[in-house]
Amino acid sequence: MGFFSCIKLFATLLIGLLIANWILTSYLLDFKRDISKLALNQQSNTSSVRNENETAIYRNFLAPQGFPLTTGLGLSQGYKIRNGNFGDLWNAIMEVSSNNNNTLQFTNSNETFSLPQINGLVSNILNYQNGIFKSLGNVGIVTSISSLQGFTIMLASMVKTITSINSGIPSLLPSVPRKKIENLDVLVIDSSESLKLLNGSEHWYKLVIVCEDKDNENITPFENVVFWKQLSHNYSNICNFEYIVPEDNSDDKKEFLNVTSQSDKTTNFSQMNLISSVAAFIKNFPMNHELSKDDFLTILLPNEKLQNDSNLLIQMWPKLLAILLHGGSIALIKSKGGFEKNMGIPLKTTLLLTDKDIINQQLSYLSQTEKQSTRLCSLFHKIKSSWAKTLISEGIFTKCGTSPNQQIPRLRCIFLSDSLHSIENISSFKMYSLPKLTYGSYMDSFTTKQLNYMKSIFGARIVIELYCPNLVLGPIMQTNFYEYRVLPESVDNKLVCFGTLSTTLEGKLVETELSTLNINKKQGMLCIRGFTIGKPVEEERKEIARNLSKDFGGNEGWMPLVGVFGLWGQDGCFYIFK
Amino acid sequence: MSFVKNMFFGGVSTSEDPTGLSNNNNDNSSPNGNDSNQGGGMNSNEEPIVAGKFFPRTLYKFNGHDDEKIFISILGKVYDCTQGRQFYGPSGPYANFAGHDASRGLAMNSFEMGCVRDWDQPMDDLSDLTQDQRDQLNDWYEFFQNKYPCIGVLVPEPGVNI
Repeated sequence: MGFFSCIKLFATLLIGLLIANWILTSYLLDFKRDISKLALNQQSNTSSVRNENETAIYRNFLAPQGFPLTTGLGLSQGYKIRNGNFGDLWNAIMEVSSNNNNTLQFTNSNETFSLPQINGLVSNILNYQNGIFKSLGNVGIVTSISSLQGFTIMLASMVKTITSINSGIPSLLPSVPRKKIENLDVLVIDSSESLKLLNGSEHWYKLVIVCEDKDNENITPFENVVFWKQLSHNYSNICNFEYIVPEDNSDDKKEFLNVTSQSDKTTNFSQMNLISSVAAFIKNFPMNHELSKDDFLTILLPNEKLQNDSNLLIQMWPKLLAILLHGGSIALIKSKGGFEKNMGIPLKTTLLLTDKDIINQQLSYLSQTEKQSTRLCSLFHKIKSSWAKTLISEGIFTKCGTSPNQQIPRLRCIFLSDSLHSIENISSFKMYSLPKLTYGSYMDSFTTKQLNYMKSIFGARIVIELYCPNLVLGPIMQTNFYEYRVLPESVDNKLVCFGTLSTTLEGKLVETELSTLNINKKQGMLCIRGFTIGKPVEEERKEIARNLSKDFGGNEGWMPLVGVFGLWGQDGCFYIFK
Repeated sequence: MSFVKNMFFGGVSTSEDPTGLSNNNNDNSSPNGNDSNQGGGMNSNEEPIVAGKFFPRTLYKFNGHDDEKIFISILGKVYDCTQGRQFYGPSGPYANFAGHDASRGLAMNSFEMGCVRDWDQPMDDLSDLTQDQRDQLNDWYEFFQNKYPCIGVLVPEPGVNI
């Protein structure tokens, strides 16, 4: 072959490649994308007016300005529409479960439980000793609610909030109370060892439940102590749950749950908080990816001893109830340090809710095992993984790059929870010491490049959720289900993208005195308002929160997230300074 | 060549910077240099109005026709009634009130143009209203206060209205 022939061949090849690239990028890729670039660049609706020293009010594009935020399930009762409450949820869950054999699995047992079994246990607890549990005040739960016992007692307490008049609510406690808490009538602890450690304080309660499979005979002389075995004795499967449906939305403000943090601050969540959060989660799934009875949610919890103020244990409830409502199944699993094939989660898993630290551990395990695999295998996988990363960054989702050590065939979405870092400032509403913007708090959050890699090796979509622990039920923000963009490194180094606000909330950024950020450039401190925000229980905190809201939102219900500095991107997403 | 190159040699497609921060150190200006561009994908023409002081002249254009936003003033307060476009927008029953001080019209329950003053006339001091009309106006004021966001106050413009 002559020199000119070579040049001809090379030129033809080059022209061919250029034309192929032009056709692919201009036409074919656009048709194949999950969602167009235009849609990802317009993820929020903004108000037409803004106050001085504030940005416009931002909302999720699914809740346009002028339309109501997501406030509930929209249940029709004749011509009326109700938001619903926990009773409606549980009633529907039991109804749906009769056609689906959906199950639950807990951290302290390999056995799976059907919903009629769980409902039977709940009924046993509620009817124990002629319904003493129903008539008592708040139920302080110290034992982990990821166990069968803790979970079932929690459910029974939730049912109690709806079915009994003026009854107590579940109260999640990080540890056994050291002083008497008003209206706390029931205490739920994990073992007889913990009972001994109560050291006389068992008299503060009308009922102490020990979640251990023992009889109380010969163990304790206390009359108010009951063991799990007695509570669950002779339970039978109950397939339905009946309750009197209210005719209006009067249940919206009914208390649903108290959560006490390590720093002894209690937040109260209402029925509306729960229902709104459930509805927002369901609403977030795009068309053709909706929740169904085939879904299996695995909640992968940290390995260490879980306390009940652990963010995942509280935030899992809206998701868990939404999945059960669609006839899906649930598994609560404890991570085994991440060094395990498939993270130790059931192969049926379609949705995974976990913490970013657990995924981080799993990533290091995967890179280790990849190094150990044979060269040929590794090379073949590397090529596939590279293709997957390229395609996913273009918006074409593929499972071809899934790691051989991470084969969860039905996994379709991972919900990665991330939390606000200055939570102590936020929940104490310290108005007198508004902190400055400090860098370095969110350095451990995933970059968009890392997320692209993770999507390729897990073969699943990833939704990053930003939580405000102990104050907001459900995420305050989440990235789009289809989000595929890989941002420039200069942005990834400075900011973390948390997507748009939940459909139950709206938000704005405000200028603060100490901050160096420019509000005209849409930078400032985040304020939110909406239907998933809990209210402080302590009078002092309530008063401080009220004053703070007045200072930053003119008494229009805004809650400043003290110390959360970020900016609105031109795509409508919120970016936090790292 | 980016896509074909990435497929052959590895690499990912990097999107544009939605924050504008990559241009300089701490500047969220848009790539086209318009640093006050607001909103998800909005262009500079849709930048939100800053709430504050309005003159009858500056309020006038927010009548749903010259500008799609609809602002109405009652008893010196300006409300954003854009979401009530079917009532206050062009061809709506209360279209005359859009971009104006609607106090007299609401007090007298009249939609006539005579009840609404032009932007270059002195502002209406409502001193001739009867007690009944005042009560009616206060009811409307409460209604607007509860329904629409208050975005500022209406004051006379020196040299034009006073």
